[in-house]
Amino acid sequence: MNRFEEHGEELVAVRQDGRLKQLLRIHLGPPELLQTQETGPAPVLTPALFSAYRDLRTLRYDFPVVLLEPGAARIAEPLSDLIDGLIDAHTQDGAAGERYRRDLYQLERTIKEVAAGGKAGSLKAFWTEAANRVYAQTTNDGHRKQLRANLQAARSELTSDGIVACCDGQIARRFFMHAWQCIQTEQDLHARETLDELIAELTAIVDADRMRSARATSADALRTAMGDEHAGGIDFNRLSSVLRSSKHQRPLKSNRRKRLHAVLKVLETQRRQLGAGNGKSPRRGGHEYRAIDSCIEALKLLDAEMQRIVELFRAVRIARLEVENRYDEARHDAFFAAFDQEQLTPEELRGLPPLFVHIAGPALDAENKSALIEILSSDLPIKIVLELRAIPDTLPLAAGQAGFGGWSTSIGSMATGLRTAFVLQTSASHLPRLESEVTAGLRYKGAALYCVYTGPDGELGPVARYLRCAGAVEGRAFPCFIHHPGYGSDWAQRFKLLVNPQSEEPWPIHHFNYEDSEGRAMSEEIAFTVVDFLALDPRYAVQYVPVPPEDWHPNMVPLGDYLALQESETFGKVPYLLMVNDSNTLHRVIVRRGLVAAARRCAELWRSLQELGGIHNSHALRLLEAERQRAIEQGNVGHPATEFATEPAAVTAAVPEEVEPSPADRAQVSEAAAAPVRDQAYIETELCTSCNDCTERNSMMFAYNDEKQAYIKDAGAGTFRDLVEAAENCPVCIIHPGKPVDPNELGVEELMRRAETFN
Amino acid sequence: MFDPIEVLSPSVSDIDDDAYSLDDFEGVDSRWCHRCGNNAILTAVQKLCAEEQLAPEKTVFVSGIGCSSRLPHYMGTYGFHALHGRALPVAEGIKIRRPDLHVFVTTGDGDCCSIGAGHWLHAIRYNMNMTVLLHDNQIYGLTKKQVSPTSPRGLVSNTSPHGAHLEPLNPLAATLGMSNISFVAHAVDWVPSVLCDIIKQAFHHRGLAFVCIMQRCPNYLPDHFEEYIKDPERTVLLTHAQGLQVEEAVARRFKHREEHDPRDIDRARELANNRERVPLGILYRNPDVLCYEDVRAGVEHLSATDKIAALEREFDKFTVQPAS
Repeated sequence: MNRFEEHGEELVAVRQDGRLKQLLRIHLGPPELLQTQETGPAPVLTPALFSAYRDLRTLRYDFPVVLLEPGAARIAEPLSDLIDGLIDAHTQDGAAGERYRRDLYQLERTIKEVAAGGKAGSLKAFWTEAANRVYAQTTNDGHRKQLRANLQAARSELTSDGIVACCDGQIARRFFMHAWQCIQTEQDLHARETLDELIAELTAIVDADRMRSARATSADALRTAMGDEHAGGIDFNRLSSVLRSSKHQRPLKSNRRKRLHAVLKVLETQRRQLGAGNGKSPRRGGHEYRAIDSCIEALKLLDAEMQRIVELFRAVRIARLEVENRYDEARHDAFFAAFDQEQLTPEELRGLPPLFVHIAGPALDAENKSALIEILSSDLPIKIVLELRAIPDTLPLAAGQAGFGGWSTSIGSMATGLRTAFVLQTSASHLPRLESEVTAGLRYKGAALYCVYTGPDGELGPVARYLRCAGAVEGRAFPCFIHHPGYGSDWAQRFKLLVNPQSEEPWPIHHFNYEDSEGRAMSEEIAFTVVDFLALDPRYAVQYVPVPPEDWHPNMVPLGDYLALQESETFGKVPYLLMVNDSNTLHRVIVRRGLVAAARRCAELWRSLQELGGIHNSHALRLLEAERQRAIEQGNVGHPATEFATEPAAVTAAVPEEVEPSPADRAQVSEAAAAPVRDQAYIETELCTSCNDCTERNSMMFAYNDEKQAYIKDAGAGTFRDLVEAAENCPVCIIHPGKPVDPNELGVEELMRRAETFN
Repeated sequence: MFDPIEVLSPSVSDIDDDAYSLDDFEGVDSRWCHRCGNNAILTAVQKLCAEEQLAPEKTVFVSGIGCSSRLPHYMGTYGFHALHGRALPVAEGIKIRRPDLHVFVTTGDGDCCSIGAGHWLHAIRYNMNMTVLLHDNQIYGLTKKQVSPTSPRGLVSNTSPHGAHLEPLNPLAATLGMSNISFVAHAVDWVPSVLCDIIKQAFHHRGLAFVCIMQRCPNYLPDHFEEYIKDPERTVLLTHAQGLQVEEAVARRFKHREEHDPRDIDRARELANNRERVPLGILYRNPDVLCYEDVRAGVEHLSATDKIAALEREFDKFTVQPAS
């Protein structure tokens, strides 16, 4: 079908509408030469939805963030949360409480100003500087006095200090280095405790052996040990001979002594490398905490470190066996002689100090890419932070090349396919909120990849870095997700979409309020798409063409609505974006075809992530539909399946589960069939209380099984009288004598009558 | 030549060790009376130790004084036969110093609810990680039949020839009324599978698991619990997905069952005070209650030298220096 057949009437209308033709030419026309620089003159217009956030100083959000000292309950906390915590903990109500709240908010704003100056410092230092500024700005003596009292009271409530960090070009590196050091400090503490304990226990064995030696039990040694004041009252020669005659004086075997000393030497050497743990010399395995900037280098370093860790855990294993006195030379010598990294348990591998790789800026070279894949496919504890400056790396906009992808936008989701690696993809703006996910990756035993978008280097123009980073998440250009192999074995457990706004939708929708040219309040629902995010990137500035109001046309469609149309429905329509200039004047900006194609591709990538994250999962929806059809075909109109919503959540809720009946329910069903009458004697063994009565009455007839519950071992090993009397004395009445083996036993008739009660 | 298992398995030393059997947890022969309910409790804890493969040298049973308190002698583990009423503080001392040990307390109704009542109350509040088994036979058996705090009103004994004057103390209701409780269950010695199940769940609970067990004394109160043993209608079996999953044979016997959520403390208290039917199962469980040992870190591991130095410091506090 040619275009005329498909859109005949519309095509005629377009051809007759000169103004529309002009707009379509802009939208569909050949792309102009693109800028290739990642930075350049800032675009004049910015997306309208950013207009409310021009001045971040007046807003409370997740930055600056306080990177809390190791040992605190959290590794980082937004300043605003910290201030809110202080306000919540304050008990005063009424005017005094309100005054306290306002004073702290004022202080928070001033701390932000101090931090925005680019100076590095601790919260307490910034607090002092900001408080002094606030005092200086307060002219009323009474207010100043109250202010000082409030700020001092709040400061005394601060439980921990930390470095104040803004959302700048260094934030990803600082945040991850800080988190890594906190985790390492904690793990080092654990390692120190373990080694100290083992060293103390081994030393106790060695010391005890020394105290049993001939030298230690000699009269002279004993005299020295006891001191002069007992010299007259104790015969040390006799004491020495008594001690030496003790049967417990056997010295350690020579092999064992050598082994203990060798193991102690290894443990003590490795313990020294861990340092004192006072925080002044944070060291691990002899290495300073430092980041490596190459995956190849990380693999080499880890190889060297592995030798050390194998030696350590070999010594730890031997030490534990020795402490428990379970070391058996016949069994263990050969094993420990061949001990290598293959023998390390996952728990021990966790003791391998993780290496921290930080790579920022341009994409990796081929060798490093290969090393990266090797790391992510392994269980090696290497944590890689890939800091991405540009999204996407490149955007092919020529006809036939439309797409949205490349290394930076794909590496995260590609790494999830390897299954073994922990992956967290996020923007720098969301790091404070993903603190627990960040630490989960650092604690994970295997490799972890963090893909973090931080925005380009240098000055960023009117839109702050925080907003640019948040825009990447908001516009689905760089969705946040986590893949954690430790969470479970299936995708539903391992993969989660995180903090993406309105994650059920293709694009987040926001209210946008503005005034029209006649001053009337207007409101629109606007989708924030990847095209809004790319509007901040000078590389794509020529793809956005403003249209003066006099050229506006009814066929102009907001981009969000345009993207919701099928491609066949877009004929004759022109997508536009609402943007504002410095003075907040609203413009309609036509988006060129290449960007629209990129947005569609971006939406597809988002859609596939939604499916992985369990949102609108196509398999679930298909099953749901099949179930619904089956229910309808069977005429089961009332069946829940016929009322299924199309949401996957409904699948779980509505499909009836096959419930395993509980033992109690089964018992109800089988009550009628219970307890058959038997001729032979038997015991309800599972109800036996092990009271010893029957077994002591006749141990040949009654015995305990492996569970120490009685059964009839041999009914012929005694008389019927034994059986009946055992039944009569059984406190829980579980012995059933049956019928006598010997019908001629003396008094059998009376015994049978007594037995009836128990059969 | 290497044993292939040794080469392949990182946990070779564990694999080659023999598994513990019930016999490994047998101590000296029991001197309890025939048909005594304590035998059932002994078997239940021995089974638990074998099933959980508890290393005997890492397991300790602590008791006070009484028939029930002889149990540590019959276990092949460590034991501490303490003073009357002092099983719980001894167990707490062991636990805080040696958190790596599995600590069990066996105590009787006299030992726990009379002379040891003060320790009982605080041990519940401390909620240290241990399993406490209260053998409640409602009589002093070791000293030949005197009235105990849980003896029913009217019980004739050597110390109450005209019948006990007071209403009995209800250990379940009393425990459920204390603060910081985390696990309370009720068992009877004559339903061994349920007893084992409850003790197992008590062992796996982190915190102080208090299991009150009705225990027969065939010598001094031979027919005392007959009404419950002979008539299963007098027992209400508590089941729940997070509670007991009873065997078919047991479920068949106890027709009166109730689905009881162990988090429901109000219902737990009602059940504890039910005089018509004895509850059998887990009345209350809250794994989130704070454990004392978690907030009071144990003593650091000391070398022999450090131990001597610490002792010297303590001794020096009491040294009387001669006048110079």
